[in-house]
Amino acid sequence: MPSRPRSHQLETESKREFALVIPSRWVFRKANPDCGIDGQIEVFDQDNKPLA
Amino acid sequence: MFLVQLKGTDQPDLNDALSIQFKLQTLTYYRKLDLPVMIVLFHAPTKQFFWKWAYEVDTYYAERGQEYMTVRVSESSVWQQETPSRIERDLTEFRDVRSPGIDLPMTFSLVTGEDGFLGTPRAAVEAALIEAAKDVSDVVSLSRENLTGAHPTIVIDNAQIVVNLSGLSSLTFHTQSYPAEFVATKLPHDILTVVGLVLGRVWPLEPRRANRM
Repeated sequence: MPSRPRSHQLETESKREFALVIPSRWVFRKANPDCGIDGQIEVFDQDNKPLA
Repeated sequence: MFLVQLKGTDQPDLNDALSIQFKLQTLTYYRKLDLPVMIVLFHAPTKQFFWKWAYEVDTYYAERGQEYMTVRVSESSVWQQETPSRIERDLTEFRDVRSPGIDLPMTFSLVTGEDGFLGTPRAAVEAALIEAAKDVSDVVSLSRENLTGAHPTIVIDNAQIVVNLSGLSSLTFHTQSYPAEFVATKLPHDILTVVGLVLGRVWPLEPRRANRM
């Protein structure tokens, strides 16, 4: 059975951990990794209004 | 809103771990995007994150034909509890700078190395620049006060001058061979030209205005 490369595990681990360090009012959306971008973060301020 | 590129490493030595390989093509691509790109490094052994804005990466020293370059993330950029607030301040600045209704003149902080520039003392370099900027005082003003977070800056050291518009656009002017005798005369105008180019990238002229010129 083929094993899962460590690089793939690390990628999953980093995304999971990153979701834990960003504030809950921020929204992380996955992007197409082929473009060199893993995700887009929409930031909401303390009043839950979108920022920038 | 901003974009994120996450990288992970198992390298136990933090100093080695903070160097990340990037395709040059990717770094160039980031500059063309409308949204700021954040590079985030996950250090698996300590479960810490380190970050920097992609605009802070200077690709000048990459050699022609080079496919990859090393991006160094600072140890002090470790993700902490207050990091989201810092990022929110940066994003607010990005939004304000991009706004067509922004108040002018735009103030750039002058950050000059303690040794000055090519033998000219810091105070003299900054005074010459502030004097030259009086001619364009309706658009740009210069300040010796350096704030934290994203804001317009002109960073001057002996190797380079970086004009940075709050991270939305920046140009690096490499100055190793700049003639020292022109520091008080020509240099301020060269720097202001670079400021104009940086502003032009963010606020391109409307076609109707451009035709009138």
